Amino acid sequence: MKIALFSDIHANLPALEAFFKDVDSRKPDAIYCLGDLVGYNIWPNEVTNEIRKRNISTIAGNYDFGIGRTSNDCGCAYKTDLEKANGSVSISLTNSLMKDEERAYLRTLPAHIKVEYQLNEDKLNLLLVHGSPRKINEYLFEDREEKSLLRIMHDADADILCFGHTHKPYHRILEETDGHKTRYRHAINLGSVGKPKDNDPRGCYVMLHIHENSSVLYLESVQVEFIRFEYDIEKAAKAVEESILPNDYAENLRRGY
Amino acid sequence: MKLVLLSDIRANLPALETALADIDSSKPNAVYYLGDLLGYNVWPNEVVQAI
Repeated sequence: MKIALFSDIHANLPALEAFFKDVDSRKPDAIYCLGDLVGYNIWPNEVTNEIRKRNISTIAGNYDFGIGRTSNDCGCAYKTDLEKANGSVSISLTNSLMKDEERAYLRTLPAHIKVEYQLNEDKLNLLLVHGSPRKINEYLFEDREEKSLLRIMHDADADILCFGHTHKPYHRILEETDGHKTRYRHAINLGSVGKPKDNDPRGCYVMLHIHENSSVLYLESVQVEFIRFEYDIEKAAKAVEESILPNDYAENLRRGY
Repeated sequence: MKLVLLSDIRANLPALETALADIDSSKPNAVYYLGDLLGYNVWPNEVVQAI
Protein backbone atom coordinates (compact mmCIF):
# COMPACT_ATOMS: atom_id res chain seq x y z
CA MET A 1 0.00 0.00 0.00
CA LYS A 2 1.37 3.38 -1.05
CA ILE A 3 0.21 6.55 0.67
CA ALA A 4 1.34 9.97 -0.54
CA LEU A 5 1.56 12.73 2.07
CA PHE A 6 2.40 16.38 1.48
CA SER A 7 2.20 19.68 3.29
CA ASP A 8 3.32 23.30 3.53
CA ILE A 9 2.57 24.40 -0.02
CA HIS A 10 2.36 28.04 1.06
CA ALA A 11 0.60 29.48 -2.00
CA ASN A 12 3.35 28.22 -4.32
CA LEU A 13 1.32 27.14 -7.37
CA PRO A 14 4.26 26.17 -9.64
CA ALA A 15 5.51 23.83 -6.89
CA LEU A 16 2.04 22.33 -6.35
CA GLU A 17 1.58 21.69 -10.07
CA ALA A 18 4.96 19.97 -10.30
CA PHE A 19 4.09 17.92 -7.21
CA PHE A 20 0.81 16.71 -8.76
CA LYS A 21 2.61 15.72 -11.95
CA ASP A 22 5.16 13.72 -9.97
CA VAL A 23 2.72 12.07 -7.56
CA ASP A 24 0.20 11.15 -10.29
CA SER A 25 2.90 9.24 -12.16
CA ARG A 26 3.50 7.08 -9.06
CA LYS A 27 -0.18 6.12 -8.63
CA PRO A 28 -0.56 6.13 -4.84
CA ASP A 29 -3.50 4.34 -3.19
CA ALA A 30 -4.34 7.41 -1.12
CA ILE A 31 -3.20 10.98 -0.81
CA TYR A 32 -3.38 13.34 2.17
CA CYS A 33 -2.50 17.00 2.61
CA LEU A 34 -1.26 18.13 6.03
CA GLY A 35 -2.01 21.81 5.71
CA ASP A 36 -0.50 25.25 5.29
CA LEU A 37 -1.91 25.82 1.84
CA VAL A 38 -1.53 29.60 1.98
CA GLY A 39 0.90 32.39 2.91
CA TYR A 40 4.25 33.68 1.56
CA ASN A 41 3.28 33.78 -2.13
CA ILE A 42 0.59 35.16 -4.46
CA TRP A 43 -1.53 32.08 -5.26
CA PRO A 44 -3.47 31.19 -2.06
CA ASN A 45 -6.81 30.86 -3.91
CA GLU A 46 -5.37 28.85 -6.79
CA VAL A 47 -3.59 26.42 -4.44
CA THR A 48 -6.74 26.00 -2.33
CA ASN A 49 -8.86 25.33 -5.40
CA GLU A 50 -6.43 22.82 -6.93
CA ILE A 51 -6.48 20.77 -3.73
CA ARG A 52 -10.21 21.10 -3.30
CA LYS A 53 -10.89 20.15 -6.93
CA ARG A 54 -9.10 16.85 -6.38
CA ASN A 55 -11.09 16.04 -3.22
CA ILE A 56 -7.88 15.48 -1.29
CA SER A 57 -8.40 14.82 2.41
CA THR A 58 -6.74 17.82 4.02
CA ILE A 59 -6.16 19.11 7.54
CA ALA A 60 -5.65 22.71 8.60
CA GLY A 61 -2.23 24.22 9.13
CA ASN A 62 -1.70 27.16 11.46
CA TYR A 63 -1.61 29.58 8.50
CA ASP A 64 -4.90 28.18 7.13
CA PHE A 65 -6.47 28.47 10.58
CA GLY A 66 -5.48 32.16 10.79
CA ILE A 67 -6.49 33.13 7.24
CA GLY A 68 -9.74 31.15 7.47
CA ARG A 69 -10.72 33.46 10.33
CA THR A 70 -9.30 36.66 8.73
CA SER A 71 -6.86 36.90 11.62
CA ASN A 72 -3.60 38.85 11.61
CA ASP A 73 -1.95 36.04 13.56
CA CYS A 74 -0.72 32.99 11.66
CA GLY A 75 0.68 31.31 14.79
CA CYS A 76 4.17 31.47 13.30
CA ALA A 77 7.13 31.63 15.70
CA TYR A 78 9.08 34.49 14.13
CA LYS A 79 12.32 35.14 15.98
CA THR A 80 13.73 38.47 14.77
CA ASP A 81 12.11 41.87 14.20
CA LEU A 82 12.79 41.49 10.46
CA GLU A 83 11.03 38.11 10.38
CA LYS A 84 8.08 39.63 12.24
CA ALA A 85 7.88 42.60 9.86
CA ASN A 86 8.13 40.33 6.80
CA GLY A 87 5.56 37.98 8.29
CA SER A 88 3.04 40.74 8.80
CA VAL A 89 3.31 41.77 5.10
CA SER A 90 2.66 38.15 4.12
CA ILE A 91 -0.40 37.69 6.31
CA SER A 92 -1.89 41.01 5.29
CA LEU A 93 -1.37 40.27 1.56
CA THR A 94 -2.86 36.78 1.98
CA ASN A 95 -5.88 38.18 3.81
CA SER A 96 -6.43 40.74 1.04
CA LEU A 97 -6.11 38.14 -1.77
CA MET A 98 -8.26 35.41 -0.20
CA LYS A 99 -11.76 35.13 -1.68
CA ASP A 100 -14.83 34.32 0.45
CA GLU A 101 -15.47 30.78 -0.79
CA GLU A 102 -11.82 29.74 -0.53
CA ARG A 103 -11.56 31.29 2.94
CA ALA A 104 -14.69 29.42 4.03
CA TYR A 105 -13.14 26.17 2.78
CA LEU A 106 -10.08 26.75 5.00
CA ARG A 107 -12.37 26.99 8.01
CA THR A 108 -13.83 23.54 7.30
CA LEU A 109 -10.46 21.78 7.51
CA PRO A 110 -10.16 19.45 10.51
CA ALA A 111 -7.25 19.52 12.97
CA HIS A 112 -6.34 15.83 12.70
CA ILE A 113 -7.07 12.80 10.56
CA LYS A 114 -6.74 9.40 12.17
CA VAL A 115 -6.66 6.34 9.93
CA GLU A 116 -6.86 2.90 11.50
CA TYR A 117 -5.72 0.05 9.28
CA GLN A 118 -6.69 -3.54 9.92
CA LEU A 119 -3.66 -5.75 9.59
CA ASN A 120 -4.21 -9.45 10.16
CA GLU A 121 -4.90 -9.75 13.90
CA ASP A 122 -3.56 -6.31 14.66
CA LYS A 123 -4.28 -2.70 13.89
CA LEU A 124 -2.04 0.11 12.78
CA ASN A 125 -2.88 3.71 13.61
CA LEU A 126 -1.77 6.45 11.27
CA LEU A 127 -2.25 9.92 12.74
CA LEU A 128 -1.95 13.02 10.57
CA VAL A 129 -1.40 16.40 12.24
CA HIS A 130 0.11 19.70 11.13
CA GLY A 131 2.45 20.58 14.00
CA SER A 132 1.95 18.00 16.75
CA PRO A 133 -1.04 16.09 18.19
CA ARG A 134 -1.13 18.64 21.02
CA LYS A 135 -0.90 21.89 19.11
CA ILE A 136 -1.33 23.00 15.50
CA ASN A 137 1.84 25.11 15.64
CA GLU A 138 4.16 23.07 17.83
CA TYR A 139 7.45 22.39 16.08
CA LEU A 140 8.63 18.77 16.22
CA PHE A 141 12.23 19.09 15.07
CA GLU A 142 14.51 16.13 14.41
CA ASP A 143 16.53 16.74 17.57
CA ARG A 144 13.48 16.39 19.85
CA GLU A 145 14.35 14.19 22.81
CA GLU A 146 13.34 10.59 22.14
CA LYS A 147 11.45 10.24 25.42
CA SER A 148 9.36 13.33 24.66
CA LEU A 149 8.56 12.24 21.10
CA LEU A 150 7.64 8.76 22.26
CA ARG A 151 5.35 10.15 24.96
CA ILE A 152 3.55 12.36 22.44
CA MET A 153 3.00 9.37 20.14
CA HIS A 154 2.00 7.04 22.95
CA ASP A 155 -0.56 9.54 24.31
CA ALA A 156 -2.00 10.03 20.82
CA ASP A 157 -2.08 6.24 20.19
CA ALA A 158 -0.14 6.79 16.95
CA ASP A 159 1.94 3.99 15.44
CA ILE A 160 2.81 6.29 12.59
CA LEU A 161 2.70 10.04 13.24
CA CYS A 162 2.99 12.30 10.20
CA PHE A 163 3.38 16.04 10.46
CA GLY A 164 4.88 19.07 8.74
CA HIS A 165 5.25 22.66 9.92
CA THR A 166 9.05 22.79 10.25
CA HIS A 167 9.70 22.35 6.49
CA LYS A 168 12.58 20.01 7.36
CA PRO A 169 11.98 16.36 6.46
CA TYR A 170 13.00 13.40 8.61
CA HIS A 171 11.98 9.91 9.65
CA ARG A 172 12.70 8.62 13.15
CA ILE A 173 11.99 5.09 14.32
CA LEU A 174 11.24 4.83 18.02
CA GLU A 175 11.42 1.57 19.90
CA GLU A 176 8.97 0.90 22.69
CA THR A 177 9.21 -2.14 24.91
CA ASP A 178 6.06 -3.37 26.58
CA GLY A 179 6.75 -6.42 28.73
CA HIS A 180 8.68 -8.80 26.47
CA LYS A 181 7.45 -7.29 23.20
CA THR A 182 9.19 -4.54 21.26
CA ARG A 183 7.10 -2.41 18.94
CA TYR A 184 8.10 0.35 16.60
CA ARG A 185 6.64 3.81 16.18
CA HIS A 186 7.46 6.05 13.25
CA ALA A 187 7.70 9.85 13.45
CA ILE A 188 7.70 11.37 9.98
CA ASN A 189 8.14 15.00 9.04
CA LEU A 190 7.03 15.52 5.45
CA GLY A 191 9.20 18.49 4.58
CA SER A 192 7.56 21.15 2.40
CA VAL A 193 6.18 21.24 -1.15
CA GLY A 194 6.41 25.00 -1.62
CA LYS A 195 8.86 26.42 0.92
CA PRO A 196 11.62 23.93 1.77
CA LYS A 197 14.03 24.94 4.51
CA ASP A 198 16.58 22.13 4.47
CA ASN A 199 18.95 23.82 2.01
CA ASP A 200 17.55 21.82 -0.90
CA PRO A 201 15.34 24.14 -2.99
CA ARG A 202 13.43 21.27 -4.64
CA GLY A 203 9.95 20.45 -3.39
CA CYS A 204 9.60 17.57 -0.95
CA TYR A 205 6.93 15.02 -0.04
CA VAL A 206 6.61 11.52 1.39
CA MET A 207 5.52 8.19 -0.03
CA LEU A 208 4.67 5.86 2.81
CA HIS A 209 4.86 2.16 2.00
CA ILE A 210 2.92 -0.09 4.39
CA HIS A 211 3.26 -3.79 3.78
CA GLU A 212 0.00 -5.68 3.76
CA ASN A 213 1.26 -8.44 6.01
CA SER A 214 2.83 -5.99 8.42
CA SER A 215 2.63 -5.44 12.14
CA VAL A 216 3.87 -2.84 14.61
CA LEU A 217 6.26 -5.54 15.84
CA TYR A 218 8.29 -5.50 12.62
CA LEU A 219 10.65 -2.70 11.82
CA GLU A 220 10.42 -3.26 8.05
CA SER A 221 6.61 -3.03 7.95
CA VAL A 222 6.75 0.66 7.20
CA GLN A 223 9.05 2.26 4.69
CA VAL A 224 9.35 5.97 4.15
CA GLU A 225 10.46 7.45 0.86
CA PHE A 226 11.28 11.16 0.68
CA ILE A 227 10.68 12.34 -2.86
CA ARG A 228 12.30 15.52 -4.16
CA PHE A 229 10.99 17.09 -7.35
CA GLU A 230 12.14 19.99 -9.51
CA TYR A 231 9.78 22.86 -10.19
CA ASP A 232 9.94 26.31 -11.76
CA ILE A 233 11.57 28.04 -8.77
CA GLU A 234 12.24 31.23 -10.78
CA LYS A 235 8.55 31.62 -11.55
CA ALA A 236 7.69 31.36 -7.85
CA ALA A 237 10.57 33.66 -6.81
CA LYS A 238 9.76 36.30 -9.44
CA ALA A 239 6.11 36.29 -8.36
CA VAL A 240 7.31 37.21 -4.86
CA GLU A 241 9.59 39.96 -6.19
CA GLU A 242 6.87 41.48 -8.35
CA SER A 243 4.46 41.60 -5.39
CA ILE A 244 4.61 43.61 -2.16
CA LEU A 245 6.05 40.56 -0.40
CA PRO A 246 9.59 40.94 0.96
CA ASN A 247 12.31 39.90 -1.49
CA ASP A 248 13.80 37.72 1.26
CA TYR A 249 11.06 35.18 0.51
CA ALA A 250 12.22 34.93 -3.13
CA GLU A 251 15.80 34.35 -2.03
CA ASN A 252 14.62 31.70 0.46
CA LEU A 253 12.92 29.81 -2.38
CA ARG A 254 16.07 29.92 -4.53
CA ARG A 255 18.24 28.68 -1.67
CA GLY A 256 15.83 26.28 -0.04
CA TYR A 257 15.97 28.05 3.26
CA MET B 1 -19.95 23.15 7.02
CA LYS B 2 -21.60 20.34 5.03
CA LEU B 3 -20.38 16.73 5.16
CA VAL B 4 -21.80 13.94 3.03
CA LEU B 5 -21.75 10.40 4.43
CA LEU B 6 -22.82 7.30 2.56
CA SER B 7 -22.38 3.56 2.81
CA ASP B 8 -23.55 0.12 1.63
CA ILE B 9 -23.41 0.79 -2.09
CA ARG B 10 -23.36 -2.96 -2.68
CA ALA B 11 -22.09 -2.93 -6.27
CA ASN B 12 -25.14 -0.97 -7.36
CA LEU B 13 -23.66 1.33 -10.01
CA PRO B 14 -26.92 3.06 -11.09
CA ALA B 15 -27.65 4.00 -7.48
CA LEU B 16 -24.10 5.27 -6.93
CA GLU B 17 -24.16 7.35 -10.13
CA THR B 18 -27.39 8.99 -9.08
CA ALA B 19 -26.00 9.68 -5.61
CA LEU B 20 -22.80 11.18 -7.03
CA ALA B 21 -24.72 13.51 -9.34
CA ASP B 22 -26.82 14.63 -6.40
CA ILE B 23 -23.76 15.11 -4.17
CA ASP B 24 -21.92 17.16 -6.81
CA SER B 25 -24.83 19.55 -7.13
CA SER B 26 -24.96 20.13 -3.38
CA LYS B 27 -21.21 21.02 -3.14
CA PRO B 28 -20.31 19.49 0.23
CA ASN B 29 -17.03 20.30 2.02
CA ALA B 30 -16.16 16.64 2.34
CA VAL B 31 -17.49 13.20 1.40
CA TYR B 32 -16.91 9.98 3.38
CA TYR B 33 -17.74 6.42 2.38
CA LEU B 34 -18.45 4.03 5.26
CA GLY B 35 -17.81 0.77 3.48
CA ASP B 36 -19.50 -2.22 1.84
CA LEU B 37 -18.88 -1.14 -1.69
CA LEU B 38 -19.33 -4.71 -2.93
CA GLY B 39 -21.65 -7.66 -3.03
CA TYR B 40 -25.18 -8.45 -4.25
CA ASN B 41 -24.89 -6.95 -7.72
CA VAL B 42 -22.82 -7.16 -10.90
CA TRP B 43 -20.73 -3.92 -10.79
CA PRO B 44 -18.12 -4.37 -8.01
CA ASN B 45 -15.20 -3.11 -10.15
CA GLU B 46 -17.14 -0.19 -11.58
CA VAL B 47 -18.18 0.95 -8.10
CA VAL B 48 -14.60 0.73 -6.77
CA GLN B 49 -13.35 2.74 -9.76
CA ALA B 50 -16.06 5.38 -9.45
CA ILE B 51 -15.19 5.96 -5.79
